[in-house]
Amino acid sequence: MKTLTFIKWEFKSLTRLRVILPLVAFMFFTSYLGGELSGVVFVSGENVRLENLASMLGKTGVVSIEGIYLALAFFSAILVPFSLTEELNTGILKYYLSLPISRFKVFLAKFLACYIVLNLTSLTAVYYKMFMTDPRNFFRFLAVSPFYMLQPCLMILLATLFTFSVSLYFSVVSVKAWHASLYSLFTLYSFYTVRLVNPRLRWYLPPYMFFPASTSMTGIFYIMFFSVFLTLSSCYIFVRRLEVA
Amino acid sequence: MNPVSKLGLVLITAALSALAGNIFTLQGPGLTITYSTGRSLGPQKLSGIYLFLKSYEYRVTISCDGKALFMVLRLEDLLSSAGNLEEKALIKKVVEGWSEVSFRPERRGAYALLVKNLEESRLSASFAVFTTKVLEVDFLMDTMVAITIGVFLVVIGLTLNAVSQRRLRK
Repeated sequence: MKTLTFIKWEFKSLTRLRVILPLVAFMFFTSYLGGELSGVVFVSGENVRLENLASMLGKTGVVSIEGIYLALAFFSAILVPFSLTEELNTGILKYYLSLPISRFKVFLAKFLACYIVLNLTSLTAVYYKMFMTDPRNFFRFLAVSPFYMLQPCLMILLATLFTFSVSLYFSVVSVKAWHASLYSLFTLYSFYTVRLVNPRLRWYLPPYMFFPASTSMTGIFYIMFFSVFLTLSSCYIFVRRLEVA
Repeated sequence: MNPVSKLGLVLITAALSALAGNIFTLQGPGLTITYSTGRSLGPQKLSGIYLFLKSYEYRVTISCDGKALFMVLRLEDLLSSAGNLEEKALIKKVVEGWSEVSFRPERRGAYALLVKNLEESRLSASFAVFTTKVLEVDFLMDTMVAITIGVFLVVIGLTLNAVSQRRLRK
């Protein structure tokens, strides 16, 4: 069995789940809860700086990450343990591993399928919000300043990787799916609730540290390093250490 | 359910959820934006701000120490104006001293709020924009369009399903 076929198979099995519609609903709803952008562009004369407006529209998308972070945390904690730990418990994973396909490819297929589903829904929700902010000029801004318009995309890919890697790690080290969900939720929500305890610390933790205006690239680098490290650790545990009874 | 129906269902869910989110944000306070030209606005010169407005109700208070023209323009009108800004302006008001303008944009989007000095000397002008949040009718209409497309896709998907099942029976 080819890896791509297996990814397609995993992707289809995820989209068949009844969790997809609530996922879409939650993402689209929470994308509006991140707050509104109050920025303005100052002008003198008739020269229109479309790049500045595109930058503002891009920030509207980035601000949405605060809203969708909870949805990302919640659905990462459901989808990933369901795809890994639950299949380990029910014996489906044992069947997969009996096929002529390496453990790494099984892991890769599950990783990509879940990551694509989460990213597709969050990206669609954020870009829908951006599009609805100015439907008449959205594509004009995209043509004039693609960097600013694609900035939310990069930030979402990073935010998803972070929530996803935490859930992935707990999925491969937990015995039961609900344990993994609980640990992931607890960890991811604890970052979010730090802002209530100490608002100063919020800029150093997700989801605020994904805002490019408020953080340095060093913070983003650390979170990416942490996510990649957790993902690689999970891969190692799955391929080398996981016992399938 | 075939993929076309599923896509329709996802579209309906997405549009309704976004509408719910949009209505939920009406609870928060409306934004207030202030702008001042300082003493820098020369004769017949323009100054102002661009911002994204929604179809809320806006009240603008303008004050200046001379005669000025306050204008509200859509971004696309501004881009195609070719110098005739006053003709394209949605709102225009000559202000001497202090004045107030209320407006509600028909469509949300990028707008320019500009002040033009009508004096032959330098002028100082400032304005403040106060927002009153109301239900965005244009957003509601766009959501209805998305829902209609979704329903259309669901119907098409179900019809295709029924046709294929009939063929199988034959």
